[in-house]
Amino acid sequence: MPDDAQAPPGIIGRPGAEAADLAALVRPLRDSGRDILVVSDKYPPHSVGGAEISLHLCCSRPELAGRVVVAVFSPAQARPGLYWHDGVAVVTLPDADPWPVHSRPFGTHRAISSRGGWARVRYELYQGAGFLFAGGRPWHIADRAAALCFELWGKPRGGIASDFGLGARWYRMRAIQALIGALAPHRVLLDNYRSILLGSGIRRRWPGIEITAVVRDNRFSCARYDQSRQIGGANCPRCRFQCATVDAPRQRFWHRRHLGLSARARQRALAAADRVVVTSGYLRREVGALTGAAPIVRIPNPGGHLGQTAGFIRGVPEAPGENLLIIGMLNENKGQLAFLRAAADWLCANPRRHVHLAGRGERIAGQIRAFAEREGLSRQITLHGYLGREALFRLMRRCQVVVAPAVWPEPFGRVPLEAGLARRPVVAFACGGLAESIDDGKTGFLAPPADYSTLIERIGRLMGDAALRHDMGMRAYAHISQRYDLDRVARAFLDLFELPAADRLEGTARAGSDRLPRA
Amino acid sequence: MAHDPLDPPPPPAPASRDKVLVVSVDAFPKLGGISTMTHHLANVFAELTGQSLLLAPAGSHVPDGYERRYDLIEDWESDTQARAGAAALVEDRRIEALTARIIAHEQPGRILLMHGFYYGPGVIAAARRASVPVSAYVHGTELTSQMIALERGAGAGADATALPRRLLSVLEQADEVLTNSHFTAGLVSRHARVRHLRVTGVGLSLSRLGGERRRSPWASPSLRRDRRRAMGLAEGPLFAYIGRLTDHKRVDRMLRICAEMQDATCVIAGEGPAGQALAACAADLGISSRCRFPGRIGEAEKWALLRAANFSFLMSEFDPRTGACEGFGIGLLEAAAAGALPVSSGADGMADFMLGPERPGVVLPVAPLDARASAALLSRLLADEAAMDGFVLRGRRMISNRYNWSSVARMILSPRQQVAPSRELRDAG
Repeated sequence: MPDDAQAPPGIIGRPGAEAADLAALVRPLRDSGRDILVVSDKYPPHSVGGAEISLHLCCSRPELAGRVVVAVFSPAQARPGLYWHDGVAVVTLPDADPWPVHSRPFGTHRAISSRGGWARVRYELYQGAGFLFAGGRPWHIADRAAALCFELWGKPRGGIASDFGLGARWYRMRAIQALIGALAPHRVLLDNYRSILLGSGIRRRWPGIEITAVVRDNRFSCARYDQSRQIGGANCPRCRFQCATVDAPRQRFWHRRHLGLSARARQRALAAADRVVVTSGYLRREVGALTGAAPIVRIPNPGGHLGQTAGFIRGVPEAPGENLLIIGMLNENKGQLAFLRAAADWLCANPRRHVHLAGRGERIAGQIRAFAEREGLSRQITLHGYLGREALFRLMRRCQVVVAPAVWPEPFGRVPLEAGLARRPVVAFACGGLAESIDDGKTGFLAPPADYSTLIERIGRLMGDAALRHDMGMRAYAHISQRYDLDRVARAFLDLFELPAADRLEGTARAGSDRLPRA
Repeated sequence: MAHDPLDPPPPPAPASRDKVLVVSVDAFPKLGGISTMTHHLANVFAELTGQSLLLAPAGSHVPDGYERRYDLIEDWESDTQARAGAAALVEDRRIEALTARIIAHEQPGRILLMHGFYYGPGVIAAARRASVPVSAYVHGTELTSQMIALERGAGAGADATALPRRLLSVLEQADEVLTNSHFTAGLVSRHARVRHLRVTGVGLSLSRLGGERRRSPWASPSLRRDRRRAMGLAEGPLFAYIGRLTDHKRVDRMLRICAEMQDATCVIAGEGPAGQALAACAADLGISSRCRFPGRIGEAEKWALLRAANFSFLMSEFDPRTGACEGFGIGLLEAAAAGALPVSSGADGMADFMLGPERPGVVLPVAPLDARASAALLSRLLADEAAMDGFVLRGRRMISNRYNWSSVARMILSPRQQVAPSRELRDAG
C-alpha cells in the first residue's frame, strides 16, 4: 500500500465494549477538524473502480483532505485500523458476519461453530432467540421465523430477502455508530446500497447529522436478488413482488412478504438521507419515485484516468476480420447468451465474424460453450473470463465494435464509457443508463429493447464501414472524456460537500443544472 | 556490404516465418502508390507468416472494397507534420517509446519501414535496442527531391534534424534498404552508404490480375470499343493517362501523339499543378474536343477506363528542378493487367518492366519525340491484333511471375528465395 500508516495496536474487537479504543484511534482525526465521514464498501488503493476513484479524487482535494474521514469494512480485518492514502484518512472497520449471524464480527460464527458440543448449542440457541426477538411488532417474529426456516431448509432462488432482519443488532451498524460517536462528524456520505442501509440507524441516533446517500444500482426499486426488474426476460409491470412466484414457488407467500419488508427497509434507509445522489438519469427517475420530494443530484460515474487508459491501449493492434466484444459478468441480465442465440445465423454467414466475451460467470459460460458447440460456432466465440483493466482495454482495441446486449435496465452501464476511452463505438439496446451514455448515431447505435434484428443490423453496418466506425470511435472518445471527466465528477462531489446546510436544497438544484453533465 | 542489385538472384531458401511489423506514414484511407503497396504487402505478409502488423498514423483505416488481413495499429497520437526540426526530435522519442511497446507486446521478427520520413528515426532507435532488423523501403522521388534540396542548401549543412539528413540517416542505419527498381537502387547507392541493398520491385494483387484476365482475355479491340461506347466516349482509339498531373509526367507527349492520330481520343484522369497547362496544350494542338479531363477518379472508374483504353501512357522523365522521377511506374502494371497496352518512355524506374526481354509494351524514343512516327507505330499496332495480344500476354505473364505482391513479399521476407509459383499464382492463371 502506498503511503499507508499502520494502525496502532490495541483497538477494539467489538463495538460498544471497546468503543474507547476506537475513540482513541480517531481522536486525532476529530481534533484536527475532520467533520465529514464517508462510508464506502471499497476505497483505493485496495480497489481501483471508477466510483471509488472519483470518491477519492474528491476526498483528496486540498480543500477536503483535512476534513474527510473515509470508513470501509473489511472481512480481512479483526480490528479497526487506519491508513492514509494521498492525504486521506481511511478507517478500516471489521465487517459483520453474514445474515442471520450478522450481529457478530466476520468469522465469529465459523470459529464458534467449529467448537461443537454444548458451547455451540448454547451459541446457536442464543443467536436464534436473539434474532427472533429482535424487536418490532409481534408478527415480525413470524417473518423472522420464516426466514430462519428458509435458511435451514431451502432458500428461494437467489437467496433470502433479509434486509428487513438486519436491525439494530447488525454489527456494521454498531461499528459505524461507534465510529460516529467517536468522530462526531457533521456530515455523512453513504456510498452505495450496503452503506445506505446504515442510514436509518445513523438518523435515529443523530437526528441533526447531514446524510447524503449515493445510489448506484436498482436495489431500491427492485428487491429481487438480481435487481433486474424483470421476470423471465419480460419487464415487470407494477411491482407486486411477482418474482416470488418464480423464485420460490412453494414458499411464495413468505418470500413475497420478505421481499416487501426488505424493500420497505431499503426505502426507509434511503428516506433517512437529506439528499440523494444518483449516477444516471434513469436512476434519478426511479429513485425519485421512491423519495418523493427529496432532492436528487445526478453525478455520473467517471470514465477513468485518461492517461492511464491511453497507456493501456497505446500501440494495440486492431485484429483483422469482424470482432465484437461483450463486456460484463455473464448472466441473464447482461443478455450474452440471448444475443448469441439471436446472432447465430449472422455469425454463421461469415467465418471472419468473432464474438469475444469478457467477464466471469461459469454457469452461463457453460451454456455458451454448449450452444457454440451445438451450432458449430466454437471457433467464432471466445470466452476470455475475467480480465483486468489493462487486458480489457487491450481487448477492446483488438475488436472493432463493443456490444452491450443487456436486456435489463442497467442502472448506469460503464461499458460505453470504457469503450469510448478505447475509441470504440458501442451498440446496445436503448434501456436504462446505457441509453444515456451512447449518443445514438454519433458515438454508437441504440436499438429498441429486445429488437435483436435491429441490433445485429447496426453491428453489421459498423463492421462494414471502417470510416464510420473510426469516426464514431473518435466521437465517443471526445464525448466520454468531456462529459464523464474524472475532475468534473470530483468537482461535483466537492460542490455537494461544500453546500451550506441552509442552502442545501437550492444549491443542489443549481449543481444539478449547471455544474453536472446533463442527463 | 552492399549487395549489387544487378547480380542474378541468389539460390532459394525457406521463406521467413517471422512476424512482420510494417510501418508507414502513408496508409489507407489515403489512396496512393505507397499506401496501396503497404496494404497489399501487409496482407501477403499475414498470409505467409500467420500474422502481420501495420503501424500507421491517426485516422488510418481500410476503406470499403479492400479486405484487411493484417493487424492495424492506429497511432492516434501521431503528428505527421513533425518530420523535421526540434519538433521531430520530440516526436522521435514518442515513436521510439511506442515502437518499443509494440515490439515488447507483439514481438515482430522484423520491421519494414515503407517510408523513411516521420517514423524512420524513432522506429530504428527502438528496433536497435530490441535487436529487431529493419528494412527501409525507398520509392525514388522522396529521395531525389530531398537530395536536390540538400544540394541547394535548403535544410542542408550539418543540421541533423533537417529532413534530407534525417532521411539519409534512416537509410544508413537501416539493416537493409529495399527499392522498387534498379533505377532507385542506383539513386540510393549514389547518395547513401547503406549496409545492404536489394531491388524487390512492386506489384499488383493476383486477384486483380485474375479478374482483369477474365474480363478482357486479350487486347480485345471490339470489346473495348463497346465499353467506350457505353461510357459515352468516341469509338476510335482511346489513349488514357491516370495519375498526378505534374510536369515530369510529360502527359503533353501523349497529347502530341494523339494530335497525329485523327480518330484518337484522350482521357487524362487526375489532378495536379500541370492540369491547366495540359488543357492549354490540348487547345494549342487543336484536340480539345478529343480530350477529356475528368479530374481525380476512384478505383472503379480507373479500372473501367483502363478496360476501355487501347493504350495507357506513362512518358515521364526525370525533372532535375524538383527531383521528381518515376520510381517504378505502377500504372504500367495496371495497364498491362487490364489489357491496355502500356506506352512508356522507358525512363528511370520504368525500365525494369518496359525494357526487359519480355517487352510487355511500347517504348517510344523521346529524345526527341517524333509524334508522327509514334502515332504511326501505334496505328500499325492497332491494326495487328495478334501483336497486341502478344503484348497483353507478355505483360500479364510478367505480373504473374514477378510483379505481384505475393512475389514481392516473398522476396522481402527471404532475400535468398527465388519467387516460386504459389497456389495463388496458379489460380490467377
